[in-house]
Amino acid sequence: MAAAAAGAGIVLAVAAAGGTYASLNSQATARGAAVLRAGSASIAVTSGLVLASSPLYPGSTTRGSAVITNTGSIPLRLRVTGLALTGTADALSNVITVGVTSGPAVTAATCAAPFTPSWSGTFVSAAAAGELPVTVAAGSTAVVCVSLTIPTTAPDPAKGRSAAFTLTIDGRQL
Amino acid sequence: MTRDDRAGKRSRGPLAAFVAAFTIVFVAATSSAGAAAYWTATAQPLTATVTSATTSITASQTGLATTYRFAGAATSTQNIARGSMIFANTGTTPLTLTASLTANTAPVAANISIVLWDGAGQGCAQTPSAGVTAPVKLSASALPLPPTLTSVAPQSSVTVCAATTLDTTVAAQQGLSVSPVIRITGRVGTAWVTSGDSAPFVQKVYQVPNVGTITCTENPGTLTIAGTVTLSWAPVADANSYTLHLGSKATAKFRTVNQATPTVSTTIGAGDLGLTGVLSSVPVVVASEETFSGTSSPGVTVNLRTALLPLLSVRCPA
Repeated sequence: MAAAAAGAGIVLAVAAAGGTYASLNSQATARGAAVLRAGSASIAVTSGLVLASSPLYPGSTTRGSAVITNTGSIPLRLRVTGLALTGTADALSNVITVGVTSGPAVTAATCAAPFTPSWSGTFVSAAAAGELPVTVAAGSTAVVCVSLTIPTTAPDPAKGRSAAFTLTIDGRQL
Repeated sequence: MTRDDRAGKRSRGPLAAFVAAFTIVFVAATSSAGAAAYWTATAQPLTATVTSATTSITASQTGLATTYRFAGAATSTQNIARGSMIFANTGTTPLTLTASLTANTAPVAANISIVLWDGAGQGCAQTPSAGVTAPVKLSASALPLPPTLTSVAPQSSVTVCAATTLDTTVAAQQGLSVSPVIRITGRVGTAWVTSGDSAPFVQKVYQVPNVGTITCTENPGTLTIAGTVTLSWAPVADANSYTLHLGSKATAKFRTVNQATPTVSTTIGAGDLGLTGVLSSVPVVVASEETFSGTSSPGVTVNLRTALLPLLSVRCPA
């Protein structure tokens, strides 16, 4: 008796709660024997980051772009999750600020012009992950703009150096 | 326990179970702390390498090495040297430019002015009537650049025309010289600085040169005629005459000898030297003179000797 009441309570509670709150959705039409397929989330870099060849100098910014493709089956919001030097920190890397943005209307051409970053970070202090203002539909692409700036106060030892780095992007389900 | 009590408990048991199950499931389903999973695509790396610029600049000049030798004070046509300076940005960053002068402490530098202008479209052969910087002395440290030439793109150069002028007469500064160096400094930001020096360029003020080797020939005297000497030398280019001074050039000349070819000569006796007694050595200074710029050479000293006999004679150096 008690078990039956508990079961009824569960059923009623589920009904009252309005269904599940899971964000994961996939759709399938059941005809006859129903087949449920889960969605997938994946992205790929289909065009690597290419920066302008002009070198950095105090007060200057160099810009570039990359293309990210949503290779999964659900829309994804792109997000910057990491920024790291490949080599050793030096006078140049210590003063670089990296900016990233994207958007539905962003193209490689717009990335080459000055833009306001949606996410900024430095190699000195790790920045928190940050979402970019773009949602990429499954099978679609997004252009990601990247800028690197050094301030007018960049020290003299920052001259004539290079800094290799990795910017990490992921995609998160809305 | 009565029958009714037992019946009541039985009737409340299912209700409690229902309420408990409902509450747990409902709260779990509606709570924000409930399942809110996101699917996240595996992060992908974007890699690149960024380089910083280099700074380097060079300076050179042509046409500014000169010798001032005209007669008058500076005018629009006299005692002017014109040339050009090329500042080449050999680095990879744009630079703002400032110029300065070094190695310029020689006294004559305070009597030479320099002006600059942008030679684009007009060249450096003539000083334009407008667009010329205010004159500064070669002895100054700062050399103001024309406003249009205060920056240079990477891997580019700018050409700055220059004119220098002697501000005094040649005679007043004769024989003096200065070898200044133009230093160009390029800056970007507050800390990136580079500079380059031109080769020194000599600016001197003309002075007629000294005579070369002086040949002394004795003219022996007799019991009644005092012995003399004849001094001779090769003529000096540009000289119009020569002056002879007793002791030093600072004393008044006691003779002027005109230019002659192939040899200039003059004979000197004791009377010329104002000798009234026996002296062991009498220095005579021979200086070249020219009238074009009004200059006189420092002079060459010949130490003549005197002899009591015959009479009061003059002899050549030992």
